[in-house]
Amino acid sequence: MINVDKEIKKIMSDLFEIQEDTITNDTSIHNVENWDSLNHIQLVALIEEKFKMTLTADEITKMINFAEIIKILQDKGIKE
Amino acid sequence: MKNPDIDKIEFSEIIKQVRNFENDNIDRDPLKIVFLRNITLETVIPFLKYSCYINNLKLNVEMGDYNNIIGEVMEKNSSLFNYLPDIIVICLKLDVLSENLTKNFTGMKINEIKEEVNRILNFIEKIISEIRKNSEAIILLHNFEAPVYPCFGIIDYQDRFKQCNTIREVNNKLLDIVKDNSGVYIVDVDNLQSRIGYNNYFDKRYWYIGKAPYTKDASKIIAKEYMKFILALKGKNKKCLVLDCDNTLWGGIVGEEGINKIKIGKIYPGLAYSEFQQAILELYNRGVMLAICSKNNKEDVLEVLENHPDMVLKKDNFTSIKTNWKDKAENISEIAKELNIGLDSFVFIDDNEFEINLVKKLLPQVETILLPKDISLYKDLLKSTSFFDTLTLSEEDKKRSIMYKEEVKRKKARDQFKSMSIEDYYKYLEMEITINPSDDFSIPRISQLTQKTNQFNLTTKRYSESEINKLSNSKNNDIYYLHYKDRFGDSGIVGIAIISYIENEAIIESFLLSCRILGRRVEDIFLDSCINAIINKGYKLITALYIKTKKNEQVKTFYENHSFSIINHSDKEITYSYNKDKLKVPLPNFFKSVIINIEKEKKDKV
Repeated sequence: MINVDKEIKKIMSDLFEIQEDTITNDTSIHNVENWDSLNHIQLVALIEEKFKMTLTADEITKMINFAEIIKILQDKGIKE
Repeated sequence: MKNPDIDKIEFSEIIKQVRNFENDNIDRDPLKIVFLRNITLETVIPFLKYSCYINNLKLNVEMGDYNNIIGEVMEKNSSLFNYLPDIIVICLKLDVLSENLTKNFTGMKINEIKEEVNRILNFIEKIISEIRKNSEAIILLHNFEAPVYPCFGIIDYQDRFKQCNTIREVNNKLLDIVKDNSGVYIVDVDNLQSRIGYNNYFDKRYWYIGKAPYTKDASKIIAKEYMKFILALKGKNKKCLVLDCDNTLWGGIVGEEGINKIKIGKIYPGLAYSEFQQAILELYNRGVMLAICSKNNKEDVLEVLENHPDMVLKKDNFTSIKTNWKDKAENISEIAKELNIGLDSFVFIDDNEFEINLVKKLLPQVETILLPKDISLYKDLLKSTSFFDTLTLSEEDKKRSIMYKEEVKRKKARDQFKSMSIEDYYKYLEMEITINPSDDFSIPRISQLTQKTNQFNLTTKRYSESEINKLSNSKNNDIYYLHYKDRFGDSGIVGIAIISYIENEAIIESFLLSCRILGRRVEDIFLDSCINAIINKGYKLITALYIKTKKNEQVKTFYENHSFSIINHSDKEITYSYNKDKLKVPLPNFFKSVIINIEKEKKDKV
């Protein structure tokens, strides 16, 4: 089984150039400097590539912090 | 070991590799590209950067402001020209450029359609002629994707003046622009859409969310298409195709089965080989040299080339024929010497993995194509490569076309350019601005803009929808938004100002404009209107803030240039106070209309 938390943290840390262990539920588009709208598109592409699924427009606009990403993936049946 | 191309590598790996390349300090040939666009095209960049790096090019990219193309090309000192680009990409999405040909088409009369087509073509002509006054960069002009669900259904296809055929007509007329201007090339995105299919091409989600229409696959194929031009421009196109014979040019082994038994001709499996040969012949006719490198008896191969009735390729098509039992790397090296071209100009095709690996190992400069098990894939595999594209067909053609084009330009310059000033151009744009106080309808967009805008954003404060909702209904705050449209389309809400009132002081907490409309002095009108609104409310003390970020350097002196004086200054933050006696910037008068609705009675719900 893939550890969803860990994979998302890895993707975020690589993409936003932040330390994995600094990522918490509150890590969000508002407090991560490199998390801008363009990087958000890339984040979505990376998550879709990793978990081999497609996110809806609503999900994309909602997943603006770590907790929300995990919740959306869980709702789609992706959990550890 | 060569890096895999973008089709054979995961997206996460591409991002990682690009970051590595950017920091490896290896000396590469620089390449500068400017993108003039009316949509979010940034999704293409990682793929393009990666492709450039693996071809030993260091790509620098400058993205133009959304929808301010004319403004950028008309300013002599615009960063566009100072940047000295090698390539200028013009990517205009029709949905943004022309609502008449997209959303409103069913309501259009034939003469209106014709006018609209002319307007679009004139607009593009104008951009290109302005660019040419200052830059000789190669111009890559996107054409328009024809609608896959045209607005009149099946009727649409029956009529030249319905939607689908009108857009095709525009695409065809772009070719006149290509013909009349030097160094302009069409990027046929309509064809790219067909190549991978509409559903794989359009990302409707990001189209609605952020005007970013292209999926990962579309971004990839667009980057690949750019690469064909780039490699051609940089002279990195391949000049010679080296081919194996048995199970490559024909099915079977001629030395064992004999000339009568090999598979080539009009029925399967011979048909697949025939069509593959046809594709090779096309390359020959485009100026690519052909060579044979195979482990056969020379007589057998020559007999097939000279006497087999179904062979598409004949002996004369080959510049060099090596049929012997030496290793293929040695043979290819010999061909290179004979033709006096570098090994990096070669592509080698074989069905045998051992041979391919040998050449890869001994001659890493040579590009190789290993044919798949399924012969039905041969032809498209060859046709989909980007190795052989050139910008012109031959030196002679090139000279002839340049001279022809120069003469056309001379004639045009005589009667056309009565030098329109940039202000006149702004008038021509017919810009219409409306400024309104926030309402329930505009709240989501306002919140979104505060979150997305980075460049023209004085404080870069981010607000959620509920925060905006709260401020919008509070007596202690005002939010104004700016709506913009011009003759080329409606940009919607593109500017936000958030003001808070504390005792007798008004503070401009946030002031931002979407990069889509920068450079047209909309900001001057907007700030002036906000200040008037504040003064009309009875506030004399107006404070404004600039908070420095990585991306908002361009607005550092905005308040200073607009009647504000510095009252406090630190590394990260500047505080200003409005000074009514300070000289005002004269407001521009080239807008078609400016409507200001800032009166609003509030019932305080907070």
